[in-house]
Amino acid sequence: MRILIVEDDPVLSDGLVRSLKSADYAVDSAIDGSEADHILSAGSYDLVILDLGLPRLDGYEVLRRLRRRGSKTPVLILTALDSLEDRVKGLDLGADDYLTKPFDLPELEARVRALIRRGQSGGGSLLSHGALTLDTAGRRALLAGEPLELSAREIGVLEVLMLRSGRVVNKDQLAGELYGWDEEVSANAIEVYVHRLRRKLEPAGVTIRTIRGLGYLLEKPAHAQD
Amino acid sequence: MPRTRRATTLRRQLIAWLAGPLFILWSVSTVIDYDIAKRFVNLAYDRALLDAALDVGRQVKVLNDRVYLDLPEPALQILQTRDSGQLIYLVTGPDHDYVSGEPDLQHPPDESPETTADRVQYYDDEFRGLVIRAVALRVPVQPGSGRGAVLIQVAERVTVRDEFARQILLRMALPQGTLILLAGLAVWYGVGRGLAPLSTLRGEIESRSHRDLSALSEEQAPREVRPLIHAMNDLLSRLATAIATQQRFIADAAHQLRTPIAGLKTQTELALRQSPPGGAHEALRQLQTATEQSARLVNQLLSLARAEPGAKLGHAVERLDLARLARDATTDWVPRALARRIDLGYDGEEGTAWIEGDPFLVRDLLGNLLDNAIRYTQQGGQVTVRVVIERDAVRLSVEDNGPGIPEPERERVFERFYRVLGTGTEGCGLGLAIVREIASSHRAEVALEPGAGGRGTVVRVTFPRAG
Repeated sequence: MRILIVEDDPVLSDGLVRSLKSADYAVDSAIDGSEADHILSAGSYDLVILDLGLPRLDGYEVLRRLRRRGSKTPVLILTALDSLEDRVKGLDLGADDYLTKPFDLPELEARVRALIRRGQSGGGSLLSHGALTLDTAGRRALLAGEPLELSAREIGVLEVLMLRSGRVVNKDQLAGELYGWDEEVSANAIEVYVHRLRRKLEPAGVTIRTIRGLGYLLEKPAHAQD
Repeated sequence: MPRTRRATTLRRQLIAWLAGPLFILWSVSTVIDYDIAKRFVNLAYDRALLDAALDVGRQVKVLNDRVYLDLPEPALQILQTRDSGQLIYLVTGPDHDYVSGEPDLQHPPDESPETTADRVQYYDDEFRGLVIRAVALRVPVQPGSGRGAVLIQVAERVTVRDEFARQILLRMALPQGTLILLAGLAVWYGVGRGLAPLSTLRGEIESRSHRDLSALSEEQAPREVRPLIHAMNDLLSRLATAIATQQRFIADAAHQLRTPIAGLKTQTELALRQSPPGGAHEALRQLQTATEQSARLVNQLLSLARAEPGAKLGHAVERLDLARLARDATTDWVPRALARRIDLGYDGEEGTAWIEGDPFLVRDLLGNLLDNAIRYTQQGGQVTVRVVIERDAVRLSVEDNGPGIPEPERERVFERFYRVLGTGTEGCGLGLAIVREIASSHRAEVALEPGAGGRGTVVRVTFPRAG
């Protein structure tokens, strides 16, 4: 996995490079816009982390040129600007995600993982969460290597929760995800699926928390960093 | 409008300047009027008195050298009964001998020997304790005979004349007084009308929010008021420029600080991961806390610069679903709440709750309320966000069961950089200042009260409801 970091602040750039290298990515860095444009037109990357306020060629222009060349490389914009217009402009130009400085390192790492996964999607992939593994293509779940008895709907709910692990998923989102391959799913039905999942997962220390008035959240595994 | 001292108004001043002199003029004119009235009344009554005396005089007859008055009873009655009261008369012969009438009537004060026959003399006197006006008329007994003259005195009480003069005065002074009163009213009304543009101006300024620094309208103002409005507009525009400059500076500074703080934060977190527990690790943890605090402060400064009056960072007001914004914001804050073992939830409107607002600022407001509630609530506590639709308002509330804010501190927490002592948390004290600033730009009311059962804190923000 190759990542290009385009950031003109040397301290931040160094921090990002070291953090991502320690997660086993191959990381290159550029310190200004024209250098980044040059590197991107020469080689291919799995992800670009792009600052907007760059010397010589600003981030918007780097992004515009990248997309004009037809590249679909995911781009995560990292910037000190946070007005709505800046955000919209970045996303309109084809950025995939947007993070405002200063950010939490785990948050950045999680988004990098998500973007890279999205960039490679096509075949099935394995989602893992502590002792729990979900094969999204084979629609199978394993708990500590042992197959877990789950209905198709329960797997559907679990997949959504695992994809957004550590964040709240509301009932509407769950119902929407399940709607595609099932009949209409009521909020009550979702409560039932979540209840069943809980019963099966809790002995292994996987917790699905109810967030009052909002939805459910798959709690992060105790030992995981993110 | 609080008024410590009764201010002088133009209206009152004009009235005072007009009414004072008018009143003095009126008083003087009343005195003069009375004098004139009295003179003419006297003139008229004296003439009537003289007529009566002449009537009496015609009836004075001389028979055998004896002077007598040939006045039949009916004529006497006619003479005596006048509308001005009873007449008193006395006829005295040439040798001071009594002829007819009231012998108690005194002789005229001036009885010098050279008193000629046709001399008519008016004088004031007293008769049985009453003030009277009298006329003395001397009629020769036989013209040219040198036999002297008969003295005829006729008198009447003066009360009638006084009464008449008073009535004349009253009829003159009353309309004058009324005129003055009317003039006063006309001035009162006229000044009010004339000053109407000023009160319109006042209304316009009063109804403005402190965020509105746009120019006041000069169009309807009279020429005299225009320079004032002009000067005010000039001040407003300079103020707006100064505020905008300052805010741009704060915003720029905050933006510029973000990148180095991001670098500091990233490096600190990396170092923290790699350092074994012990001295350096602890130091790094402190460093991390300080960095987080700086990051938050910078974000809040930006929020504040955005929310302040005159901020022209290009935010448009649009129709917003506050219920949805609140649910989204609460959802975003759940991970941070869970990290502190705080039960964060939403309870309230499930559908839509429309308000008018700037989405960016409303998100800032929600973020600051949630941040505060989560930051100041102990582990294991509870924070609940609610959006409730009322008749013409949409009420957002964030309630926690934390330590609460003591009564005397409740107003002060809205001040910038104010923190409640003893909370032991690394806040910078800008959160509620931002909330208030944003609320006021949305014509929303902020109230801070103890939570349910007197525990914790509930912050309510009441927005006007949009259709």
